[in-house]
Amino acid sequence: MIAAGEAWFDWSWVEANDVALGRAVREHAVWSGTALALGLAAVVLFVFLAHRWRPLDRGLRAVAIVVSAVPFVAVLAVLAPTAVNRGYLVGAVAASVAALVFRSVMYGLDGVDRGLVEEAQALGHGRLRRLTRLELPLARVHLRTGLRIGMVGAIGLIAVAGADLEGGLGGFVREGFVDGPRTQRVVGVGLLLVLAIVGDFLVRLIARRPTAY
Amino acid sequence: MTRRRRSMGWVSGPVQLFPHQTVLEQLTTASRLGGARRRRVKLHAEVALNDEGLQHLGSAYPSELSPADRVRVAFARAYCHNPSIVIALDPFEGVEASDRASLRAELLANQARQARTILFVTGDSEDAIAVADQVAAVFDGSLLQVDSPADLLARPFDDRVTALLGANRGLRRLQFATIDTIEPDDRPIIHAKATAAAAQFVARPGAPWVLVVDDDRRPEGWLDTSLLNPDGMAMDVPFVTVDPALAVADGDSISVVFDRILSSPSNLVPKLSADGRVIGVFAHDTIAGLAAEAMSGSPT
Repeated sequence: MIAAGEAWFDWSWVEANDVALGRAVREHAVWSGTALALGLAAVVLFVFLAHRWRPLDRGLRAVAIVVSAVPFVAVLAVLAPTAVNRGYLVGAVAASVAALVFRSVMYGLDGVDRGLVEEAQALGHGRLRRLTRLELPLARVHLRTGLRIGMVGAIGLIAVAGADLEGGLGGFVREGFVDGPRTQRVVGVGLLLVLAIVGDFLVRLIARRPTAY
Repeated sequence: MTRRRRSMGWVSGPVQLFPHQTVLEQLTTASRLGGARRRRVKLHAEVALNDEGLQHLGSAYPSELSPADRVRVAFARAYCHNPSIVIALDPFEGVEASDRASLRAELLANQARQARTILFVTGDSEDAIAVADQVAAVFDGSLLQVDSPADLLARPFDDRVTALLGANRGLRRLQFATIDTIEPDDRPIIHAKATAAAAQFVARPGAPWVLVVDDDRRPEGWLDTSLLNPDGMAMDVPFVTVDPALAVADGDSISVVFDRILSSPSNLVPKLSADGRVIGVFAHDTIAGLAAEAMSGSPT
């Protein structure tokens, strides 16, 4: 409940709840990181498979379109038909992240000049070497974009899922809406934004834009 | 298939280099694929770059190279693992005509230094005639004739081969006839201290220019004898400088001599010995007769 004339931000409330805040941020970061790592591991596998077998390429693209188009909650429901727990939650977010990043990577690979790929073939590059030494480096801009979308997507989706599980920053904000003070909601949303910005910054730092060529 | 490809060198036009790799990295990759040991690939690549005179381009990316330099790098990449055969598919495509001439000359110089088997596929008969030992004329998928460039120009198998060879077939044959055995005219040559009357005496009929030489018979300049006072000295009129690039020597073809005669202000070109002394001069009328004579015999 919100009391009339309640302040938007109360520092004393933050000081009194610093442990709960720290736990929510920690949970959110760990869940998002886990979902992103799982999603990226799946992307590596799917990209390799799609590159190796053309029929799989079409199938995986179709699945990725469906998964990234279907609302996240629906994916969650499919993954957890009986009960929602943390494992299902992280798995569902990982699936959504994987679909988003996979589409971005495949879009990048599609943009690689076919002439260069044929040239590499003519020079004797095997399929895997072509993927890792030529196509992925040339699709680097799209890989970077995919990573940024994946990172911010994971943080955002974990917030939605966390509201269900009453954990992470999602749960923290939801609690604020139900019976917490206005400061709880403001601080929760603010920290969510900070987390997303920091995550995006980290990706940009790690995967720098290619400038040499 | 991949293994077989790695045993060959490959250049195809318009040349495609990997945009994200420096020139040295391109060669390192090719060397590695060619089977060089991991520790030695960089050394192989550097040696190949030095051999081609491209060491200054080692850290450049393809986007920083001219089209001609890209072709040079592509050939260096094809050579760097010492393949048994190099396949070049229209490698000079997309290169300016002026650079194509340099690239052909460099390819021939390379072959003179280290002969390699190169299968050079091109739709440009100029390239084929300029660089090949043997030319296979293929029309619409049919092999019509295999011959040396000179024989191909002299005796094309049929109209289709003639069409493939393009225009100026007769003139282009002149590049295979050298001037080594042709005696130049040694009359229109005078010493710098000769009299005007002597200069006018040695001038060819209807052609006023003579070549002035010094004590060592090295060229001093061209002299227009029509400007001379018959009672004076040859030195009274300023000489026109002899462009060393327009002189000819043994090994040059009749087509080169023709070209330089047309570019020379005097319509004459000096033939120089290996130590730069004047042996004689060629004029267009004498060289035309010799060209006709050379073309009537077997191509050399």
